[in-house]
Amino acid sequence: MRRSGLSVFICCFCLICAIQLSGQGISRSYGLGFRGGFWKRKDKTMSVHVSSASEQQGTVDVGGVGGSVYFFSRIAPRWFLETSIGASADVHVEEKDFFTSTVDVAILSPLLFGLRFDIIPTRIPTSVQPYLSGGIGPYLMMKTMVQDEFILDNDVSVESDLNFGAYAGTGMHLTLGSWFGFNFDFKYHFVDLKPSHPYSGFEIGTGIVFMWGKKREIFRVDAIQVLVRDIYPAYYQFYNTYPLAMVTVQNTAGYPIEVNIKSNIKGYSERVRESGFIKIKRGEKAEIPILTFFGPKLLDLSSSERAVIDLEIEAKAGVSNKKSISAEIMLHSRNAWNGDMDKLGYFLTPEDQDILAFGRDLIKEYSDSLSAGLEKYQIARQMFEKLGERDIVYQSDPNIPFYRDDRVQFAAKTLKLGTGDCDDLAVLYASLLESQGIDIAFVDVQDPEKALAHVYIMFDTGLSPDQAGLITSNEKRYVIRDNGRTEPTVWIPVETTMIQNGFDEAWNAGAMQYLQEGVLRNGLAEGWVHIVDPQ
Amino acid sequence: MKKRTMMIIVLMCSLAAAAVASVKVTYIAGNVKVRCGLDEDWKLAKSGMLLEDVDTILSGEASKVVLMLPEGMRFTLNSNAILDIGDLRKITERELFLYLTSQKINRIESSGQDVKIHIENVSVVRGEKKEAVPNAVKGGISNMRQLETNGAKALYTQGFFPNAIIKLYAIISKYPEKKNHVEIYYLLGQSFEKVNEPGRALDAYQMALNMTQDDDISVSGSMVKRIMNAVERMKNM
Repeated sequence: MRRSGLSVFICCFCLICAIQLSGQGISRSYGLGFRGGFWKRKDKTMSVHVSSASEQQGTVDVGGVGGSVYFFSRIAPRWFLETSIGASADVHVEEKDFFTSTVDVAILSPLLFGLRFDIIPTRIPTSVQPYLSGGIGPYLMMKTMVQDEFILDNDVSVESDLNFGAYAGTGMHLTLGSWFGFNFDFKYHFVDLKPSHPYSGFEIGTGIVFMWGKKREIFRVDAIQVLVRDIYPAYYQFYNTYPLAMVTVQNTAGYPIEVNIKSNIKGYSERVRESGFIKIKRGEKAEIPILTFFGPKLLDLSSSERAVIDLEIEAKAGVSNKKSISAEIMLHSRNAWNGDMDKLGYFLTPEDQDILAFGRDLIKEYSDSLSAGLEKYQIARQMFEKLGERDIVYQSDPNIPFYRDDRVQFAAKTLKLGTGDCDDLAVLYASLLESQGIDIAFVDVQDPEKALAHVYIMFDTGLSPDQAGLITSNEKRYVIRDNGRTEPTVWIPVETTMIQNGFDEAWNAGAMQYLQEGVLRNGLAEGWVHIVDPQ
Repeated sequence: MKKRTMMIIVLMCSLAAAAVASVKVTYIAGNVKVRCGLDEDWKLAKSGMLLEDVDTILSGEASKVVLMLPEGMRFTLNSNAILDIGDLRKITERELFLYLTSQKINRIESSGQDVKIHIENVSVVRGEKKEAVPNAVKGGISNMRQLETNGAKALYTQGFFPNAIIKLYAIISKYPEKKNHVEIYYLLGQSFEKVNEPGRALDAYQMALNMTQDDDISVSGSMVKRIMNAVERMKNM
């Protein structure tokens, strides 16, 4: 006896555990259930009784047995609209003798419309969902009596009545998965709205329920604002620190939730990036920045192509709820540049092997002739002359129909091809100087009187203003500036498209442009000439 | 024929405009030199020569030069002064405002939050090479700072106040050591007063006054008194 009791306990425990583990937590929006049960009326007992006194006599009594079909639909986080139609019957069959029998059938059929309220908030991950319910509707009552006396005389009488009534009750759902569960229900019916009505009484039922539709959402995605639609591979490191999009998430749960967003660009992200769980208070919204992990693979892109950024939004509050959304972005070719001068620095490749080798060879060749304190100036000068010897010449960018981006060649490529436009040559010379530890700055000129913008560079000689006379006696040939890293030093502007003309002419051209456009025409103050230090 | 005549007229007008845009040397006394554009060398100035805005003029000891400006005004540069011809250009109120704003922006210190992509995790980079420090060279002309200050004074005294302000700022940035900047800041304050910028004038006078309290800087008592009076005047405005 003890052993069987223990077995029952273990079985029950295992069943509860299984139910808890497989329970859906958040119930779905719609459901259709089938219940069977008993209706305890005032004047009747709930019973099924079969008796046989002799071969000719016997009675069958069925009291309050019935069933119902019910449908529910969610109208609020914890509220459901419930409709049910059912029938409960009292049947009395009596065989008095071989020739005489009577059959009494009393059927009660309610059509009910009500509300159901889930007691346990959905944030609690349980598969047991107790509820309270209540509603109203018509109750149809039919009484049929058949008296059969021998073969000749059959007496059939039918009575019906329709009453308005109401019910109140409780019950629970035991969900076994996201679409299936058991139902246990207990109601008290007030037929004709009177507890004293003979049909008023308790109904106890149990059955199964099938559910479908959306689970109740605990968050809503209000907006996706794509901040960066165009991705330029050269600045892929920049995008690793700058949000590509902002997703606005609204908490609709009625209690605090935590939201995490995973982002991935298939084929280009190094791995999935997560925002980390961000707490959103009840009813509030949060703007969550979306970042990605781009890798150098992006630099393999030789032409523009479209890509999709996939976002998986997961909200947690005991239970978890996920949604997936996507947005389209454009990946440009590795040489594309949007003309943003702050980003030109990303094209600098001072650590490129070809660039380092170029600088190394030059230093070996001229190391004996470098003067103390003037090394930076002399290296920059020799480097420029060396580029001239390699027949590197100016060539404008190709015109690509409908393509609005500028193109910037990486320094090693320009060195190899021997041609480039103003930004290519500026990037080449700047990369070479930076590879030798010489600071550079781009001078961006967007002259309102000219159709094309222009860029050249200036480099830091490392000389203090007092030492400027070591390289020139004309103060108009240099700029004294402080780039935030050192004390003010002497910087030399160089027109990099004049590689073939030699350093002195390129220096003069750069200095003259700076003087005329930047100072005399007020370009620096008006903002159409600006000096940009690469980051 | 008509076309040719029109072209000649247009050409003549252009030449006339170019001539007007130049500054003419009308009188020279003593040692006056001119440096063209980005040239390294100075040449002796001659009366009647035309100077462009990229040129520079230097008036030596006991010398004087008078320039005729495109608008017909005369400008006199007395002894021991240097002036960029570009400093005589017409500067509008808007240009001065933009210049001062850009100066202010340049003085804003960086937040220090820049992402240095090349040395992301590195706090210190080692690799300095010790070397002999080259001697300071003054570009062949001694006391350049005083010559330039005298040039700025000439701008101020002849009513080129916005030009004087820009020139004085250029001198301050070119010679960052603060010694003997008292006179420059005082002159800057006076120029700001003339362009009706009392706030900036007070700042400049205050700066000059603070410098007079530095033991390393020798300033005459009368100068200190003048600066103090100017500060009081500005405060009472």
